[in-house]
Amino acid sequence: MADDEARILTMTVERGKIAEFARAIGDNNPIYFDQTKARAAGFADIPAPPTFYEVWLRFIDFGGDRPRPQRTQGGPEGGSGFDGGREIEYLKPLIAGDVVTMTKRDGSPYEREGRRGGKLTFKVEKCELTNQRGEKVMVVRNITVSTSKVPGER
Amino acid sequence: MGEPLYLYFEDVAEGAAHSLEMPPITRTAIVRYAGASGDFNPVHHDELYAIRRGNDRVFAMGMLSAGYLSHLVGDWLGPGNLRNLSFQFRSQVWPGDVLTCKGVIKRKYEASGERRVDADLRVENQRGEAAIVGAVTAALPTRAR
Repeated sequence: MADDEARILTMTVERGKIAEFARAIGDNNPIYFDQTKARAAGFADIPAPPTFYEVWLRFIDFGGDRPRPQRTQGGPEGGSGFDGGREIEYLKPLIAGDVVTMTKRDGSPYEREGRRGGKLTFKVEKCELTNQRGEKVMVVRNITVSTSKVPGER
Repeated sequence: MGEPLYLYFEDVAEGAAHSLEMPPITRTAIVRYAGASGDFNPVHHDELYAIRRGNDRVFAMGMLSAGYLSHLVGDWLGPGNLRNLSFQFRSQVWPGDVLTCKGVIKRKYEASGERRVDADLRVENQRGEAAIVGAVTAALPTRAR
């Protein structure tokens, strides 16, 4: 895909959002809530949890507007897409106060046979996160799977 | 970096395991993750919509379970020590499910001037079925310095 088709979003890493996200995944590690504890653990400020970037994945396709219900609606019903997983590389810490630019590009789709027959189509979005110093922080591959089953088939 | 709070490379053996059982999944937990993450796909919070889409009821986002998995990995290996984390979703997670996150060290080695470990990861429900399978690579501090 050409560069001009990339979606780009710049966001600030906020302490309150980190605390909200950590609570939502049941992670009570004090480094996510207390700057002193984060510094004692070697971070310059409160770090983002490992999957915190998801917050921006939901915004980026809407140009930074508030998230809206997605077009792909998951479920076992035939012909629908579902979330396949992620492959995440961590290159630098992501810290409260960082101003991060996320660039998202679509990869070429590929097909595989499903475990229960039928064809599965895998779509991979590659998201690169760069901080305010121009350092690459993370690379996230977001994998979506769609099935070729006919509607109604389980 | 300051004093590490997590495992030292010397203290990890291949085959060492760690696990974390989470409280039962509730609709409230799902909605809370929707708000925190911005994942407002109605199949996760609108019961009538979920049923119309052929589901028995609402189900949790895969990334909620993956967040639990990242919690296990962070507590065990140190959230600042992760180098790679990959995972695939294997089955749907429903309200009432009790998820346990599990990790097993597969390999200790040196690479890129770091002391690293690879671990296999799994999130399973109360019936032992995999909701997620995955793998993590972390660079651990050493006592030798």
